[in-house]
Amino acid sequence: MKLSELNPGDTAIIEEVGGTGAIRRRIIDMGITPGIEVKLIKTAPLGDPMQIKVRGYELSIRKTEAENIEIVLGKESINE
Amino acid sequence: MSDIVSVREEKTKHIVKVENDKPKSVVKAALIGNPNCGKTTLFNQLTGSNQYVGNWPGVTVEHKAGRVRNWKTPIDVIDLPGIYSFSPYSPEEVITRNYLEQEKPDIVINIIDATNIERNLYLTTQLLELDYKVIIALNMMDILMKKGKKLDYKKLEKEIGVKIIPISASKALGINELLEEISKENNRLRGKKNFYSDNIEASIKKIEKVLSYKRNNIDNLRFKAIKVFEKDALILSELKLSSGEEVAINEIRNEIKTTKNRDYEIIIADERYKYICKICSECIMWDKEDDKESISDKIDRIFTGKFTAIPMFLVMMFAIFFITFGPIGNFLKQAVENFMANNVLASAEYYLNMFSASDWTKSLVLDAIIGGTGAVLSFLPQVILLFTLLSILEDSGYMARAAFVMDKLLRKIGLSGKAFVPLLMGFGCSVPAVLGTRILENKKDKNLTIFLIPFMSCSAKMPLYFLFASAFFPNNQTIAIFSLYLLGIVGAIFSAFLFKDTLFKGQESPFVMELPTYKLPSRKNLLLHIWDRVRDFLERAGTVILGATIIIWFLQSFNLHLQFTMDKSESILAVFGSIIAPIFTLCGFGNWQSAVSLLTGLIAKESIVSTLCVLYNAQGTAELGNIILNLFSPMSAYAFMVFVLLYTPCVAAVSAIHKELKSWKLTIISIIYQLFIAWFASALVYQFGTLFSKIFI
Repeated sequence: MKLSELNPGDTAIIEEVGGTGAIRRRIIDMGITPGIEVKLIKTAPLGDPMQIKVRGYELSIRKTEAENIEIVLGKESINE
Repeated sequence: MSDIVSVREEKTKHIVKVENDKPKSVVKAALIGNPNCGKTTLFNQLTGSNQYVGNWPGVTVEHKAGRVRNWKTPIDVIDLPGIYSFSPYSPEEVITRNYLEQEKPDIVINIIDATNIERNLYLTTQLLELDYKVIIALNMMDILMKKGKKLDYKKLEKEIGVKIIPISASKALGINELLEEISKENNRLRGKKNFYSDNIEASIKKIEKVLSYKRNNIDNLRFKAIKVFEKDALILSELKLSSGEEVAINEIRNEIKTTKNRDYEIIIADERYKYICKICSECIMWDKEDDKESISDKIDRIFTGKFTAIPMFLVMMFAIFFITFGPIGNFLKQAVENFMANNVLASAEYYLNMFSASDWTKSLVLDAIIGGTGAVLSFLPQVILLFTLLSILEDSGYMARAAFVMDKLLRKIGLSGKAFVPLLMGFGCSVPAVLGTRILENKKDKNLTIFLIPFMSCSAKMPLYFLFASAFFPNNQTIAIFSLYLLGIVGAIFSAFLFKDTLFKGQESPFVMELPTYKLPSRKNLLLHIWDRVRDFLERAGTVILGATIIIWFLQSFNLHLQFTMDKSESILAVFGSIIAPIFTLCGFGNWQSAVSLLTGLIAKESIVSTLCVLYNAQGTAELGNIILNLFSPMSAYAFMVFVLLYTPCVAAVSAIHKELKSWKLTIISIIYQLFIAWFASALVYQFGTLFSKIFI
């Protein structure tokens, strides 16, 4: 499942951060790394971007960017 | 000012002499931290009004620096852009890296938001890897306590090996303790560098060896080795590895197992974050579980909620527009204008008459210097109002939300959400709007927005629209004027599509944007911020704008024999006007009066109407309306309005555009583009309009 498919209020665990270059680097630097829990707070009124909570702070991310991020629903952590 | 500084230096020298028996040099401290961590607030607390804005040599990026006030030894603080990481992909990250490499500060003050400690410490790990002497200013400890958490900073200090000083930048707590630590050379420590598990650490060590085998003295060897491990394209191209080195490094990398979701780039970031999580769990204690919705969350539900976000956004924008350009702003503008006319202008006239000055001296002083700069100065109240409001929006955290709400719409024309505010301001006045583009961090966004602002019809063009629309379209005035505004917006969208992938091509900025918690803006930050802008504005009014005004005054006051003339039809400008007038024949207004009025419109758009008044000897706009009815057809009148709508903005705006674009080339492109598109659109309107009416009417 992709981060962009999450419903508001859902919590998920990051599995894989795809994409390339500066955008991917920025996403990783902001703390979106495999195994971390994210929560979708809401999407903007026009449907994009999304407001997520990660590592205790809130972040806005566009759906095109969120499409590259694989997640697993629920709280159980992935095994490496 | 300089006297005060030198007196203070004398004093400090004296104190230092007593202590060390030798003069001590100035300590250079660089302030580094994430955006929204209170960095600017701390900088303002440290330096107060001792700060100045400067440019770094080579790059035209502004930075702020200042001497710490009321402190026994001289410390210079440099405020660097807020960054999340040293990747370095964003211009801010590059600037900060270059600054640290070239200027080699004595100490890096790393300011950390205690309420957001995990992500803030991520940058700290990189600073330590880069081997700088670091002191950590741990900000917002008071807010953390309110949230029911306790941070054992002494334990954290021991763990990462650099001094940590808890402070509250907004309440000015812990500032002296911080300065005390900075002053003691022994307390400037380099700290821990190994945040990785053993096998990764071994790989990094091996890469260090490979890199240093054939090269001497690599700066920041460890940092580069880590970047090489990550396959960072920028560092790899910088190092130009030999094929032998590449093979060796690949072998080292292959010892580390990667999976689809764990490549080398992620491994490093992940290990840093894992280390941070581990030490945070050891150092942070929960007094009580904090699960209830904070005030910030409640505010956010209104400002970005599904049904409330857009109405709230419109209310905010309307409020800014109304306060700046409505009754309050206009009242203040009038007050400045009246002051200039009744006091400055009147007394200048009095003295000029007293010394029986010549006609042209009077004209130069009264019309050009006082009249011209006065017209620009009258924008000052509106500039102050707008910047006050924009600063409040920015500091409170709303600006990030406005960008969040509007992003989808503006993205279609290659901009990000934040560009909405300056674009809207363009309907009031291009000058503050262009200066307002500073809220856009991304250069592409900023430059494109600056190019689009002149398309938002500014309020100074209103008098002309009223004059022409009431004369030629008395029954459809509103529609005529509204259609012009709409045409401006269409022009902006067209230009955005034209430029977004050509002149301003470049990477689209990632919209991975932090949504900071809402907070009350600090008065001190606000005042310093506004003072910056005012000083800036006054400087430009006194230099570029004054110069341009005098040149145009000269052209319209002297004839070709360089004799002063009161008859404008003999002036150089009129001659020039009649030369360029034929250009406008295709647009339907090829007379020299129109051409001259458009030329004076380059000083201020309001002067188009006043110039037409003078050139046609009309007493007031009512008479002028009757006169132009005989000189223009409805079609050429509309074409003239279209030209005024689209052509190059006034001197004040062009000077603001140049200031913000930081490039003559782009400024000239912008000027020529506006002229061209205005001529083209206006000719198109006139030719097609005439053709159309011939066929159907």
